[in-house]
Amino acid sequence: MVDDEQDIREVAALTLSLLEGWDVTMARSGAEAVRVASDTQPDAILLDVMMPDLDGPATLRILRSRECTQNIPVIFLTAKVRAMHYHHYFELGVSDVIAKPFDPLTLGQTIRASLRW
Amino acid sequence: MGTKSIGRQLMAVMMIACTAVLVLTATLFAAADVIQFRDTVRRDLRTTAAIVGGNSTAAIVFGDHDSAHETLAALHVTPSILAAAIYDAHNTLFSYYAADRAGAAIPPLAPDGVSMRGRRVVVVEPVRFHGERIGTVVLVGNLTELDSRLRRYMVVMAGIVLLSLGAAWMIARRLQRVVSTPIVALARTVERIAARKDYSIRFAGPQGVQRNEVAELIAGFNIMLAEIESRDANLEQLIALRTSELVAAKETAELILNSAGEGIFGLDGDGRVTFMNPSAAHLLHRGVNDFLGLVLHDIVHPADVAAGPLDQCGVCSSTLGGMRGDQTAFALPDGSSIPVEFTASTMLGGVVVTFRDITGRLAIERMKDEFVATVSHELRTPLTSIRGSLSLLNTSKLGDLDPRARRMVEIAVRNTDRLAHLINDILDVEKLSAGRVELNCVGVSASALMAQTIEAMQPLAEREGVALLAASGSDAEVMADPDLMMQTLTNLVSNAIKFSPRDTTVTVGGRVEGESFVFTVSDEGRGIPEDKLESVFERFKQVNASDSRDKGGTGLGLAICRGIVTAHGGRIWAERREPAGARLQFTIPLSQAPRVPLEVALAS
Repeated sequence: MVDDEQDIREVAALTLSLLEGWDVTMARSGAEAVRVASDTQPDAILLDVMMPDLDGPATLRILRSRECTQNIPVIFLTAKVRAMHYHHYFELGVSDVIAKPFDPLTLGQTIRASLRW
Repeated sequence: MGTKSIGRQLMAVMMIACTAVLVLTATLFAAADVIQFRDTVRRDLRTTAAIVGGNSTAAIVFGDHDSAHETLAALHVTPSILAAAIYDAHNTLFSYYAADRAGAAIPPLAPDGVSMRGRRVVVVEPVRFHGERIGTVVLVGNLTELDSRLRRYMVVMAGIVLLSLGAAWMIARRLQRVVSTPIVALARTVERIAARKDYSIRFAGPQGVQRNEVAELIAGFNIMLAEIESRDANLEQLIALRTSELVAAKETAELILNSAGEGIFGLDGDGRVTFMNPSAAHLLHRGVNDFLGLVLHDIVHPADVAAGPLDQCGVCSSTLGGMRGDQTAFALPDGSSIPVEFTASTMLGGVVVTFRDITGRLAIERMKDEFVATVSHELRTPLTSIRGSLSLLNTSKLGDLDPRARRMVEIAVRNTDRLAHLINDILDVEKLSAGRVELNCVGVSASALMAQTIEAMQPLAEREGVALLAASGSDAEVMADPDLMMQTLTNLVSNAIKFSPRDTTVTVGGRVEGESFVFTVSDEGRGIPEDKLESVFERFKQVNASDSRDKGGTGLGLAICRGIVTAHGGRIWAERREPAGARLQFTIPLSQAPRVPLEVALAS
């Protein structure tokens, strides 16, 4: 779970571990996300779009360029735009885009649907 | 030539008339003389023949040939008698005479009387003795004397004619001046007026001109001159007035052009700059005369803008016609450029280009976009945490809550959702009203859009106890952004469901009308009052002020729908249904792509 906002990271992580029982590792920046992903090899990455320094799309490019992370599915979290404007995110190769604020009760369900788990 | 010929013409006319009269008179006199002379000759010959006959009576009776011959020989005193002969009662030649023995023949016997053959006159006269015819005298005379007489006559007549013509010429010379002098003088005056363009000249004319047509002509001419002069004076005043008006108008126009905040170029048909106002010069960092006479197309476009040929240039072409406007960039002397918004109007064979620097506006737009994005992000980020925390509290995963506490959390969750929804709608409305929504239009099946909508909204309909149905209707392919269409349809359907009592029906349908597809969402709810059918599409203009609280709407849904439909080139409106309910309809243009027949589509 990658977000520069501490509160959101915590809420999301707690939600997914409580409701879905998943192990959630948190990263506070794009750079940290790349490092953590390489180390822990997660099943999926929830990546915030709007972050300082490395934003979501830039982080995604680095993940895709590295052999050890290139096949990990990525889902964008964004507060920036609505569904009617984020066509181009899919062109970057993300599995889904989830708008903030998300409903924690359905977050896990949405992720499972996007990744066909 | 012109001024003298009138006198000559008059002279010629008079002389021709005189000549004709004189010649005719002389000819008539000559003819009368010839006739009279002939009669005289005939009478003389007959008298002579009668005398010869009388003198020869005894000679014929007695057969005295010598006596007859002597009588005839006496005829030689009359040179006009060429020959003579006497025949006896038996018509036998008795005696003859010939003036010229060599040429003359004996005149033959002929019937009595006078006959003329050419220049010869033959007189045949009977000779009687006691009433009895005893012979015949034949005389042959000639008219050669007539010729000489005529010759003399003609010489005399010619002299008379010449003298008369001379006199006539002298008289005509004086007479023609009476008529021609004023006309010639008039002609000279006209020449002088034409040469000097001076209409104040008047024709005085020779004193004592008689009251005739020429005098009237001169008087009329002077009146005409006076009229022209006064008209000229009026015209000059009028021209002076109009000129001063024009000068004032031109000064006003120049003042406007010079003080206009917009840059203005005037181009001729070849695209050359005919004027450039101070604002244009200022905006482009030039002097007002820098561009005069130059082809604007060659100098105004920055190096990095593909300007194309002049006649295709939206800014500079004088052949594209009409009035056109767009955004582009104009070059500055230092090689940089400024963004401009221009209007080019073709007029009077050239082009007037007005433009303004939109650097500031573009910067503000950019700032506004950034602000909107930032606000969106900044508002949603805390909402995400709040929403997530509340939801987790609301589950039993973090321990059971007191029912009143749970109720409070529910209220907090619902209002957090409303706030998030409101933020989204405000951003949408803002983008739509600024015309900054990018449409990703594709050909899409109208019935597929409706089916998807029904599927998406079915859970809400079930929760509200409302039946959500697709009306049977035609299908067509519309040219639209599928996401925005879904947003519009779901918005209308969720409105319809929210305002429908339990156990009523909401119907989604559509039909082709002309070049458009009409989507229809109908309900059996409370309907929309007549006076609010239009205003419901305005921002925060719900039918009841309490609706946004009671129904969870933002008051922006229909404004967003109208924005989306308008952006697609369609229109949206609301109607009342009888006996109850509302019908919301909107049109979307049909896809212009050629329809592939079903069997062809299947075959491929």
